[in-house]
Amino acid sequence: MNKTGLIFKNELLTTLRRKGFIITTLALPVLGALALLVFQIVSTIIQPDRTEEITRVGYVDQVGIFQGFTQQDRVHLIAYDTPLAANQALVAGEIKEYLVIPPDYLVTGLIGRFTMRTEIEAPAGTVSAIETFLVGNLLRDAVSPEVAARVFNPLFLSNVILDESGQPSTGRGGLEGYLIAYVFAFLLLMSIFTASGYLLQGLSEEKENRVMEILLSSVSTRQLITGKVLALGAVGLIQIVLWLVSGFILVRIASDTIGGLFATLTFPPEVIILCLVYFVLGYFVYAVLMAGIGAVAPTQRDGGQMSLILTLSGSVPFMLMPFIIENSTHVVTRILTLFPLTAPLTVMIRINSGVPLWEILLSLLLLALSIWGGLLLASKVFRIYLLMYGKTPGLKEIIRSLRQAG
Amino acid sequence: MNAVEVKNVSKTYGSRKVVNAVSFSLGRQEILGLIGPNGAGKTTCIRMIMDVIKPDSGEVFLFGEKFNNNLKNQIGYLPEERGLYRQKSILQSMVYFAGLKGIRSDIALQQAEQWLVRVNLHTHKNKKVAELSLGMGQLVQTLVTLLHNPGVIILDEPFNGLDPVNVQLVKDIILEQKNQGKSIILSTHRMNDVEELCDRVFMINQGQNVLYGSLSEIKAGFRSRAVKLEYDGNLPEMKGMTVKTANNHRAEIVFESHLTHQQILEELVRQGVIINRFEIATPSLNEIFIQLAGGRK
Repeated sequence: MNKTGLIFKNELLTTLRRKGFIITTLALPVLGALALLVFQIVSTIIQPDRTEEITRVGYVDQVGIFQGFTQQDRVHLIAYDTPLAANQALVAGEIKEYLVIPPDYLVTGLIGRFTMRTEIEAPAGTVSAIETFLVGNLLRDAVSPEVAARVFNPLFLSNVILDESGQPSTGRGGLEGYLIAYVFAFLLLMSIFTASGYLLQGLSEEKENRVMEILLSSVSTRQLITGKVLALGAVGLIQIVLWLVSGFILVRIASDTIGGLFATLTFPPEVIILCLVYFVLGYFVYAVLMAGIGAVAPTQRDGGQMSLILTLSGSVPFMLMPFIIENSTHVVTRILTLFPLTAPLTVMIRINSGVPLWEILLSLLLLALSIWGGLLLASKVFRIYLLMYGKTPGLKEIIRSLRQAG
Repeated sequence: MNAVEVKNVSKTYGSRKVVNAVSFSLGRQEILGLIGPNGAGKTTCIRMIMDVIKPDSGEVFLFGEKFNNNLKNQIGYLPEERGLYRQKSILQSMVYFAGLKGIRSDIALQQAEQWLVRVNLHTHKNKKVAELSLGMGQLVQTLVTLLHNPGVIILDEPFNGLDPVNVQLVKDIILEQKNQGKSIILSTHRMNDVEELCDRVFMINQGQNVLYGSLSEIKAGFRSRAVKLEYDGNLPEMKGMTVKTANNHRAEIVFESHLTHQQILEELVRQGVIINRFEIATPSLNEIFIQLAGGRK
C-alpha cells in the first residue's frame, strides 16, 4: 500500500472507532426508530373509542326544511318537536346540546344553541358539522346534487410551478418534496461538519502529541493532506449513506404504521445523486479549509474557535431557508447557490422548486475550483505552520508567510 | 560521497534569522554531534535536512542527491519529544510508521518483534502507548526510528527519560548502527555522550556555525595555557608562570601567552625538576560549549 493509502486507512479506522462518531452516526436512526416505537405504543394504548366520540346534537326545526344530512362524521343530529322535548333529552344526557332553528331563520340566520357544558366557544368540529347540515338542507332542492357536492368541497389545489421560460418546472411540488429537501440539507450539514470537524481534531491532536513531526519526516504534506481528506470524506459518505438507508427504511415502516404524509414520501434518485455529489464536493471544500486551520491552530481548542466562522457561513442557507424557498430567483439566493461554502445546502433547499441547470453546473465548477485552490493553499500553510507550536499566528502574519513562501 | 551535505542553508521566520548560511556534512559511517544552546537553530537544521521545512536559500543533499520525497525513506528521525499515537499498541505503532517508510507490514512486524526482544519490551508489545512509562516510550520511539533500516539516522536527545541501563543499551545500539555503515547525527546537551560517541562535532549558536571538526581538532584549537605535572623536587618560581594547584608532587601550572608549553618543560628541566609526567591541559567539550555559548549570549 502506498503512503497516501496508509494515511487513508489509518485515518479511516481511527475515526470509525471514535466514540463520538459512532454515537452521532447511530443517534439519528436510533432516535427515529424510537420515535416510531413510541408512536406505535402510544397509539395502541390510547386507541380512541370511536362510538364514544360521536356527539349527539338535538335540533328543533321551526322552519320545516331541515330533515336531511343528519349523519355527519362525528356528529349525529336528532330532531325534536319542541324545545321542551329537546331540553328534557339534554338533561337526561341523551344529547350533548341542542339547536333551535326559529321560523325567521332564513331572514336572520340566527340559531339558538343550548348546552350544559362550560366552554369558551363551540367546538370547531361540531360547528362545522352543523354548517354542513344547514347548507346541505338549504341547497337540497335549489341545485343539482353535483353542485351541492362541489359546494361542500369547492377546492382541490393543484400547483404548477413554471420556470423562467414559462414551462412547467421539473421541481417537485408539495410538502413532501420540501420535506425531503429539508431532511437532506440537514443531514448534509451535519455530515460535512462532523467529517471536517474530525479532520481538524485529528490534525490538532497530531500536532499536540508531536506525531506530526514523525509523519512529515516520512511523507510529503500533499500525501498527508490527500490521505486525511479522502479518509474523512469516506467517513462522511459512510455516515450519510447509513442515514439515508436507515431513513428510507424508517419511512417505509412509518408509511405502514402512521400513514398520511409518510405514505406519499418517495426518494427520487436525481435528488439522492445530486445530494451525494454536493456532499462530496461540499465536504472537500470544508475539509481543505479545516486542514489549513488545523495546521495554523496550535491546539484543538484554538482550532475549534477558528473553525466557527466556517461553520457559521455554512449554516447561513439554513437560517435563510424560508427566504430561499420563497425567493428562488432572487439575487441573494443565486449568490448563495454559487458561493462554494453555501452552495451544497442552498441547492438542496432549492432543489424542490427547481434550480436552473446553469446554476447547478456553475456552482459545481466553482466548488471544484475552490477545492483545487484550497488544496494548494492548505499545502502551503501546512508546510509553514504545521510544526509551529504555542502561538496562533494572526491573519496578517499568515498572509505574509504565504507571500514569503511564494 | 557524504551521506548528508548541507550547503550554505539559511532560514528566516518573520524578521528573525533562525539559521544563517550554515554548512556541514555527515560522512558515511560517521557520528556527528550537533550541539548548541536552546534556540540555537538545531531543530530547524534537522527539519531542513528532512525536507520538512524548505530553506530560504542553500541546498541539502542526501547521498549526493538533492533532497526529494523518495529519499525520506532513507532517514530515521527520533524527535526530542515523543511522537506516537497514544491509543495504538507498541506493535501497531511500529508497523504503521515503518509502512510510511516503505516497509511491507509483514516484514515490519517480523523486524519489530526482533527489536522488541533486543530492548526487553517484547512482553509489552500489545500495550497501548498511553500506558508506557517515559523511558519505555523513548525506547519505542528509538525503535520506530531504526525499524526501516535507514542510511541516515537523526537522533534528537535520544537519552531523554532513560535509566542508566537503557542509556547504555541505546549507546550500544548507536555504535552498532555506525558499525553497520549508518551515518548518524546526534543532537544532545549531554556533552560527555558527544565526547564518547561522536567522531566530529558541529556547534551552532544564534543560527551560525561556531564550531566544526573532529574532537581532537577542536580540543587542539582550545588548548589552554596550562600544563599538568607529576614531578620530583621543588617547583621553581618562574617569570610568567603561576602554580595553580600543587599537592603530593602533582601540580597544574598556567603561563602567560608569550610562553609555550615547550619552553615551560625546558625551563623546569633546566632548573633540576624531575618530570615524571607532563600533560598539556585541554578543556572538556562541556567547557568549550559553555565558553562558546556563554560568550555569544
